[in-house]
Amino acid sequence: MKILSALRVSVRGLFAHKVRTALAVSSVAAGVVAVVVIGAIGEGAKQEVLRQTESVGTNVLVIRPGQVAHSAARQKVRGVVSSLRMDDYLAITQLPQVVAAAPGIENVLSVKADNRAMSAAVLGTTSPYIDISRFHLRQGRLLTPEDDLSVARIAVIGPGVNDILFPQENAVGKQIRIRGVLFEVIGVLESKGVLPDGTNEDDKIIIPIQTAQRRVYNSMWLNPIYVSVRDINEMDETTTEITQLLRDRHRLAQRAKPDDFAIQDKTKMLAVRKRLSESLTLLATGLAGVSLVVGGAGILALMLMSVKERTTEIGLRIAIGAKPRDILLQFLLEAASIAAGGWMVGMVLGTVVALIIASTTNWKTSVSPELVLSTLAVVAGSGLGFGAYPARKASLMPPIQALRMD
Amino acid sequence: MKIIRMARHSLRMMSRYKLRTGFMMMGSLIGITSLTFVVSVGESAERGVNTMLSQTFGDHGIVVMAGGGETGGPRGTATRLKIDDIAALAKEVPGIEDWDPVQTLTTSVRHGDASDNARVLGESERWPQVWNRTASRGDLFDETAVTSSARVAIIGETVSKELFGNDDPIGAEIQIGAVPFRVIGILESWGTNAHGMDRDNEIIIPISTLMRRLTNVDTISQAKLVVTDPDRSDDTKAEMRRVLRERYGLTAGQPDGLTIVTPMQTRRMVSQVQRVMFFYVPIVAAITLLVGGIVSATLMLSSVNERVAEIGLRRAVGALPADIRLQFLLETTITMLIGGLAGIAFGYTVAQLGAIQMHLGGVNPWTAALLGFCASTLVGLLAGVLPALRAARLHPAEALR
Repeated sequence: MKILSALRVSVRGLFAHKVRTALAVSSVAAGVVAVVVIGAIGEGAKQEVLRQTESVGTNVLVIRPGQVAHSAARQKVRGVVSSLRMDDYLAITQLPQVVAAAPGIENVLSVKADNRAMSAAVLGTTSPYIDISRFHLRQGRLLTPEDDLSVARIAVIGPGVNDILFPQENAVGKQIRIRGVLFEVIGVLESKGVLPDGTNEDDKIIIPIQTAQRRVYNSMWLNPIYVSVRDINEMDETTTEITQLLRDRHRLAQRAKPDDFAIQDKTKMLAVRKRLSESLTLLATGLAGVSLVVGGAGILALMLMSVKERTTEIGLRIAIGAKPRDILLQFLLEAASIAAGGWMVGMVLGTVVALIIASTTNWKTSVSPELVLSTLAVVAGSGLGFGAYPARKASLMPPIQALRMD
Repeated sequence: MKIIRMARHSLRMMSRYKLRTGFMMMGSLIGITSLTFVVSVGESAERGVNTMLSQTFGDHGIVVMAGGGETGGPRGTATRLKIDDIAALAKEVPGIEDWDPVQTLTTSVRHGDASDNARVLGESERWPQVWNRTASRGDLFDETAVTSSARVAIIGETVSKELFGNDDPIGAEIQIGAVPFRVIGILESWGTNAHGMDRDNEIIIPISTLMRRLTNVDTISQAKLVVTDPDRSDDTKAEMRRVLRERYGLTAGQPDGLTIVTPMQTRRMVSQVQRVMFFYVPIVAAITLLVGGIVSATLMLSSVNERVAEIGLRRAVGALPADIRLQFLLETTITMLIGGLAGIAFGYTVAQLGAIQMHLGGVNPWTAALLGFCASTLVGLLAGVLPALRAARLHPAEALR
């Protein structure tokens, strides 16, 4: 009951000084709005930056046949074995963490058109490969799911191939010869240029996997299988899952044999991505924190001023029997109400602003629950903390001195 | 004379009401500190992110490859790319910062009875900065190693695993082909590349050693050149082709069999990221400015509101509204100046500390400081002087009440 009556006194105190209360609430609210908006934009900017770095395909795992030791003559040698089949690829696509997967069979071959020739990497694969490897189409069309099952002699070529075999011409509809087999060019890819490790992806020719296996390479083995993982944080988990799956399928566990395949991610790109993500999080937190400190300083200043101005009132209350504890409680409750009011106003306004920014830009701003709770904690903490100091000061003042001020 | 008297009066009033003056100063201090911090840290973070990206993804590079282009005819590839050609490019084409020639060989590597089939790259001592890859452990080789064709090797993690298992390979001897090499370092792990190739199943050795002892050729397969201005890549690329064709004495129309590629995809990505960061900092700064403004306006309004009675008293004893205006202008100016300067110093220090904490480069606070100063002056005039003027225009009796 006592706390209720104390609360009533505090609220009445706040209402008696409408301007001051409004100012205090608005400065807390401004701080909270800033935290919410800066936090949301920071998260949005981080997501956008990470999405952009994704455009080089950081979520890709590559499964390759492994090197296995075997004896040849009397020497122990290690060599690559043929171990991956289409069935393995189909089984991998069934894993829940795998968004898309594509089988591959690739080699550098001589390619001809009319009187021109060049060497190019000829990759037999299926339609998902284009997305997994982040290629874009410049002209014509891409492989379709129907092409994945057919042995059509069609090819999607890189811009480098187009430039050399058909200078200044659009290659779509033209014929090229791969190992003597005639193919029709159905599409030309957008240029990627040179990649960070110095590989050139522009001199590439993509043909349907069945055609590659039967008509070009005369081999049913795969090397490699490309896998696109649903969530970048699931890379390790997915690697373990695929390892397990392939060990089961290749019956390696029963015979206690080592893996006859190797799974690899883009270690370096992932490391950079992680560092980038961490520094952007730190940045967003740091910048948002500044606003919170600013709002907190507002509470401190207004509470100090409020106590000072009301010294007479405090003296009077102590003189007629209020205990220092009651005074402390009253001011703490005032500070808490200001903090709570400011927080609520700030939350609503901040969310609205974040939503407006999200809808006018293409950033996905998000107001995370952690952010909401941490601002509440900080605002309540700083409200009580900054309120406590002046309140304690006031409550310890001898009543006669308090009454005599001004 | 009047202004000096007024200034003295203002100072007296300010020292008498220390708390109130302190709050006004704190208002401008907070505003400027937070803005200085946000802008300087934001800007250096933006720089940091851009540098990190362009270094890792190498958007400043142009790669020249021998062959890959048109083949056929009796000579096969039309040109033989040599180290001298690239050295000439670096000298004759403007805007080239650094370069590294590469020749590769895929061969078997042995240690004891363990063997591995690895890709051996011969490179100059400049490979770490040109390809932004380094040794995670051990040493790199220097220029002397390249001139003296030293038999030293930096091996990738896959090679290390295949040859040494869990043992430490540094200092051990391995055989590349038939030639013994000493392992001096372990390559930083890269993982797979776009072709699904294992970039950790590699060994880097001095290019001279590779050419003389392993391959016995004097050509290179590719070279990467780092340019100062990636926006001019296309011009640089054309200029490079012109210089090389001239060196080979090729006439117009004769194929040169060279592929010169720029990092298009990487450049697109880096510029997208730059755009995000470019918007991010100003938006955050604007919000901070707004918050700082609201909080300092709050502090000033509440200290001015308290002085309505004082204004009434001064009016009652004969001060004109103009005098009140002068007094408050002076007080606000002095407060803002002190608070502002303190804010710049404080904000700069905090920003510097923050930047060190976040491993960012140096910070430059001046734009933010100037902006903050203008903003806090505006806030000071609106929230510190305007209410006082309104009070001054009130009837003295009313103000006193």
